[in-house]
Amino acid sequence: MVREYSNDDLIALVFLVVGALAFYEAYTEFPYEEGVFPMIASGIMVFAAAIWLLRSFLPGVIYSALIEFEESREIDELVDDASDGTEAETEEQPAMYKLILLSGGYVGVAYLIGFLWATPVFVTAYGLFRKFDLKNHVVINAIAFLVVFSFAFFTTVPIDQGALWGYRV
Amino acid sequence: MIGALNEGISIILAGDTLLWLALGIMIGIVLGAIPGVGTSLGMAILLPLTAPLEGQDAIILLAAIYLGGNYGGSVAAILINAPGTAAAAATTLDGYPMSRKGEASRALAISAVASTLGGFIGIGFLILISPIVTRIVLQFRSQDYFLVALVGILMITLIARGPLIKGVAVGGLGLLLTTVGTSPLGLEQRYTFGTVYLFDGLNFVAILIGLFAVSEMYKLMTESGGISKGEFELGNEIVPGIRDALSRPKTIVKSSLIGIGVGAIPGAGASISTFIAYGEAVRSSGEEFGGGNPTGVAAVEACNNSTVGGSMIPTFSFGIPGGAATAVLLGGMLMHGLVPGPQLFDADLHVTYSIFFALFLGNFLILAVGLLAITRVGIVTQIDTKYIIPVVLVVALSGSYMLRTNWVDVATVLFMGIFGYYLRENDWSVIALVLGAVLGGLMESNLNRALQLSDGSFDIFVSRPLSIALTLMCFLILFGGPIKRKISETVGG
Repeated sequence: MVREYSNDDLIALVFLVVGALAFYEAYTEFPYEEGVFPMIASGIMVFAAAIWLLRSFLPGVIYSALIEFEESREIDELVDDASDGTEAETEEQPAMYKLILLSGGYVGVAYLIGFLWATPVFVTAYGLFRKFDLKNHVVINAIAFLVVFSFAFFTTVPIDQGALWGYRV
Repeated sequence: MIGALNEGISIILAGDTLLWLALGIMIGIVLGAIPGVGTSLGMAILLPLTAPLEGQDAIILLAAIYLGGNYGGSVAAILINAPGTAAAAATTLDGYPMSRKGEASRALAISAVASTLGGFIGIGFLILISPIVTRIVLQFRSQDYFLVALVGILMITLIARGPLIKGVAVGGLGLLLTTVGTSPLGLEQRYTFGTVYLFDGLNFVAILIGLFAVSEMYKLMTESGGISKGEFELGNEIVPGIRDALSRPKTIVKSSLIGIGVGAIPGAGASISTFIAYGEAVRSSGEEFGGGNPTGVAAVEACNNSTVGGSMIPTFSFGIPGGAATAVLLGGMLMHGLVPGPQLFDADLHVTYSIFFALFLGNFLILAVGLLAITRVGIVTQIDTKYIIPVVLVVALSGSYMLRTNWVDVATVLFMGIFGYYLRENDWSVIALVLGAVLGGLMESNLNRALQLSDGSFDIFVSRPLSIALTLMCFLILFGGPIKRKISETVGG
């Protein structure tokens, strides 16, 4: 029989590896007092991830206590549109990856020239990607710029300056 | 006591004090609603500006910002799943799903009424019993603070989604994230990879913004239309919302008492108390939560505002701030010559009562603003998400830079946004991660202190009646459900 592995197993494996590395570093590198809590935290991660990965081998009582869960007690942290019977139109999943790239680019440009000046670049790029008309380009740009401008105006945080360039407001 | 209360009330009603109170509430609501800015930063910015004010007016202004901010944090949590403050993280659990169903105004009305009632109960209780509570708070030791935080984190067993073991693993990751940076015990750099940017560790507000706001924007990118997927009726939702809150007096009273109790413990605060109140609501009601249950919103919001009252106890009695906002408040008190200590509950009791009474009145303002103005903001959930996404991302990312002027916070928001998206898509509990990240620091410092006091012996956790009671509470949370089920199975044959 070939067992199928899911994304759950992949995430648990990542937890196991990260937890094991963190535990090893805490055990070998940190003084005992300063390593106790990291060892407890990483130990919990390793233990729980290992239990999840080995769930097929657990005795029935432990399996029902740790793996099974009551549907009625389940917390849906966010309502899934598919489950609440509404008619949300879904777009292509790649749009999300593009947004991740765009927001990463926004942070990169903000690092270079400051958030205040990077904001119109990000919003315009996003607007072009989502095919905003001119009016929406202007309105969304104005709202976003005003928010960041107020941060720059009311605080001393250098949100208007980056590593390469900036202009103090 | 009655004389001091009368004197305190007359101080409030004289001069411009009410004006400062109203201004503070308004500023607090706005600051609390902006993720990344938050109440404490706003209070810190305004602190120097209070210099020309009378001492009491300045403290009332700052305390009102704190109170308004605690309420305001829930507005963004309900509307766009972006908790403005850590205290509002639990509000997202049922508040945002209500917005998704087209009930944003209803959720905001519940929030306004429950916050007000929680505030009344919290402050009213505080006025009546603050001298006694002060004595109780003095009984808490390091091991008890640790156990209270442990109670908070054990709420994973009640509110984490899916299999318990997945919640435990994610909670462990949350705890581990709090150990990054300089150790609170010494100079040891932990998991910093040699970079100075990580010396101050990861900011839990940045983790919250990433996990809630940014990951939600990535999710919304795959949809079209507004956040609300149900029919949104602005005017018709407010009265049912008020009724929802008023029809849950038991939940509101219980949550308010949890808020004042946990808030009174130095270092605890609303980020712990709200999750405990939510967990208790889940445990005791038997209803389904997380899909937009009004009880969930009412429990968290009542607790949230009553915690403000509770957190005043250690701040005023011992000068120990429960969190960043009360630390700024403490700074304001010292700046204006009000020295925290027993005398604030003795010779200067009238001053203390004037501040408590101001906060009591502040709750009326929250109710008025909440019902008349904030519920109208629910219309935001009707706007197409393609217009909301860039604005929220700009606020979240630039706001995170404002936290500590550290690019690590911006990177944390970005990474947690992506990570949170995949966790949620695969049913791993984001809430468990948040609980770990919020409570880890408090747990570590108190665990270490307790172990130092006991020469490394864990017996300290069962050495005093209070510690034994808290340890028992932890066991009950962990095993109470299975034991109860076993008993009912046995009795039922």
